[in-house]
Amino acid sequence: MRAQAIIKKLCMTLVTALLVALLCFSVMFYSPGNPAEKLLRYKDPTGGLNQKTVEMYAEKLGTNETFFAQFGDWLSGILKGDFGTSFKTGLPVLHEFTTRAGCTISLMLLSTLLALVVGLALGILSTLYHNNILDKVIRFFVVFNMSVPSFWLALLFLWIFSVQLHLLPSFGFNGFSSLILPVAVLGLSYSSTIIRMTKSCLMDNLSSAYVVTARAKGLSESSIMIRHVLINIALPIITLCGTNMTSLLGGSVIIENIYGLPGLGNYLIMAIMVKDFPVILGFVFLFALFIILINLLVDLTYTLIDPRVRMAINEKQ
Amino acid sequence: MKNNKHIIIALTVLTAILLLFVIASPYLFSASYDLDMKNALQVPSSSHLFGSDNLGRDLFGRSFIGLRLSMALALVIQIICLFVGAILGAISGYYGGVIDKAYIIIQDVVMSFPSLIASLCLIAMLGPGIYTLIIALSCTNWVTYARLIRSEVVSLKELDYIQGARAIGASSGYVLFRHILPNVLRPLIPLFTLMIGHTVMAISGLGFWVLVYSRQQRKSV
Amino acid sequence: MEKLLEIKNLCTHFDSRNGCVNAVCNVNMDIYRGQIIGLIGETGCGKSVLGQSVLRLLPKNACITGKILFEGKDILKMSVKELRAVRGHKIAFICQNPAEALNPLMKNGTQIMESVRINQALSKKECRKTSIDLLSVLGFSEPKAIMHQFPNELSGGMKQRVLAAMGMSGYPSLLIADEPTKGLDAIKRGQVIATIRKFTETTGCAVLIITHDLKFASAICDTIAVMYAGEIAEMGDAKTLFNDPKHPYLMSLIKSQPCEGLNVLNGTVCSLIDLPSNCRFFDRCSYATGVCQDQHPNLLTLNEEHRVRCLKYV
Repeated sequence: MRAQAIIKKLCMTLVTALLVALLCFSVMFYSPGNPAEKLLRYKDPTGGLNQKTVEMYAEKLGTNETFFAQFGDWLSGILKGDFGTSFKTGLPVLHEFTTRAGCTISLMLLSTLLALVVGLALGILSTLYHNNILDKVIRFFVVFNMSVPSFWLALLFLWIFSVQLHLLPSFGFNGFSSLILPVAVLGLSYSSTIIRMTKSCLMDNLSSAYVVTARAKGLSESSIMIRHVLINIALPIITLCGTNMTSLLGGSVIIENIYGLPGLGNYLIMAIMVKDFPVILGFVFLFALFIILINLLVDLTYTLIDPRVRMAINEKQ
Repeated sequence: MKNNKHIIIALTVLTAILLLFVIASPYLFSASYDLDMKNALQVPSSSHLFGSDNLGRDLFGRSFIGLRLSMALALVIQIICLFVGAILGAISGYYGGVIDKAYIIIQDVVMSFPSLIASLCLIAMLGPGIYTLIIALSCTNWVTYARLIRSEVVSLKELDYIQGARAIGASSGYVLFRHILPNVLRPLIPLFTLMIGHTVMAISGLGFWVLVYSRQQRKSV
Repeated sequence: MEKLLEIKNLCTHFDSRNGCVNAVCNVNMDIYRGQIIGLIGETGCGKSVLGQSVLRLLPKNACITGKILFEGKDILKMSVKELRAVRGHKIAFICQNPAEALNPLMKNGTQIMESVRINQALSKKECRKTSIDLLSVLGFSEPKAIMHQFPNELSGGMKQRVLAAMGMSGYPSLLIADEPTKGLDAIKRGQVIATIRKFTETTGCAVLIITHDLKFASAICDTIAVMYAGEIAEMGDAKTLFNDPKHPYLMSLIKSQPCEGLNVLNGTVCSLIDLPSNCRFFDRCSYATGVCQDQHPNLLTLNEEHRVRCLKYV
């Protein structure tokens, strides 16, 4: 791909990020509730609301200014790495984010990896043994997995491995061992879509003309699979992993809650419930940035792997 | 044809079962509104298949009554999403150009938010309630349909039979509704059913959070 | 001449949801070394299935019975390993759809080198050189550039020639080409004929050409087999066949060509699922008599070189 096309893509991403920031901010700005009053309540829970102090806090927060002035302030703060301060804890939002990000991101990456490994392995197996017993077992597993909510699976695993067998910790975050159960739950529940996608793509590809050509060359089935077919099914699977990752960012909240993991989603939801404005704004924006980044990576992988996409982009230029 | 018959029978039976439960559950399980403090918090048994809650109400019946509301809400939300998505996706895909570019930016922005968290934010901002739930989930879910429909329309409009319809002088509206939309339906139907399931899950998740945290807050105050 | 491939009572059927599809029924055919043999017939008559049956390239729901003897060994009874040694190395196959027959995500060079490497124990550098040579033999003016390009950057005819290069890379003794002239203009078709001729002359390779292009077949083939509804309708020397067609189907095929006045043959082919017990061409035949309604004709030997499946000549 030409450098021009990459630059254009990056510019578009920047515009998207800016619009996301604007949207986040305006939803927050126009939502009911006075931030200064909120802050005052947290500072002094017992005292009543004094008009003078409220105005003083409003002055301090800058909430008396116009929309664009406030938005500019917020944005320039972000560029300096200042996402504001939490009303509730009084700590910087970025600090709250980074202390929890490790847990959520490792949970997300590990479960995506597990889902990918399980999904690819079972998908390939069920294609190779199409209509055999193994395929039917895998198909049953997929349907079962798709209809069972992940929190049920989480509770079941908790009961089996922590309560009955005392193998793994049931609560809190101390090291890798406390990630095993949540990763297993999320990985398994996200694997079923990958199994399905792998199987349908493989079935399509294995009956296509290029595989017949490869067979006619005298290649073995395993090298056809590894050299020719896997790269062709990589694109849809990478896209699926991208969407899985973005939905895991918000979707792992329930699992985090069950296993008592100090994750981002958990903290954000608490902030939403108590209307801790700076935290909501900062977290939602950071989440959105992360998702934009993942989507950008998926797009770039596409152009890297598929010459047809590359050609289409170059022709557009 | 032989297969079609089987599909129609299966569809009828499934719809009948679903309708029966949805319409009749409040009458079938009317007893599950009754309080019975002596039998509160029971484990599953023959009289209470799913056990009973803290006020001694039968959880099996209550699940069905709850399912009725969740299903109805999910259906309403998904129909709204489908309409919004179909209109926006079809227009941007069919007309292309500036409209399409503007639409793509909107789509990218909406897709940048994790849907569960974005819905929760909206509910928190607008205040809890069934209408806010519908608005919040519609705002975050329409883009799934719009994206699919747009990509389908973009690839369909290049096909020869669409060009043929245009060549004989059909208006764009006619081509869009008569030739393109019926062809988009095929991938749309499985997505719709899948999304209903997702929405039921999302509604239960949202309900869970609103419940847990409003309680925590009440305790702390 | 030495017999290279002997097809005996070959039947191929597919299990489908609507019933068993009999794509090829009781085909007998011999291919000799260095011979160019054509297989012609309309779409869906089983000619491509016959070609793919020879290398067992059909999907899993295909059931092949009979015998395919290649150099005295039955291909249908070979182990996977033996079969792989035959594929590409001794019998090469060129797919009919050049647009989809190349892996879209792999460079042309990699794909050609892959087949060179399977068949000849060469280093990577030598492989590259052989591939470039093959491409220039096939008429590419800049073979090195083609090696670095992806299939989507080539035109249909170019893809066809890349596929041909892959087929020829193992110097096979039999090349099966499925529709090698599909979508090519007259000049390109001429080039294909010249290339195939040259290839058989230099390597002594036999070629089985599957086509529905009568002109092309008559220009290049020594022997031609006409297929109708899964059976061989007529078979013989190319010149005799075109000058003196015996089977009513071949007669109408020849008459339906543009240069012969485009006389349309009415009716459709009988279903391959419920095969009639009488002559399969009965419904469309203008010479049909009462006998044809009751009997299924066998392949009659008119003379050494000419065989026909029609009750007219009994």
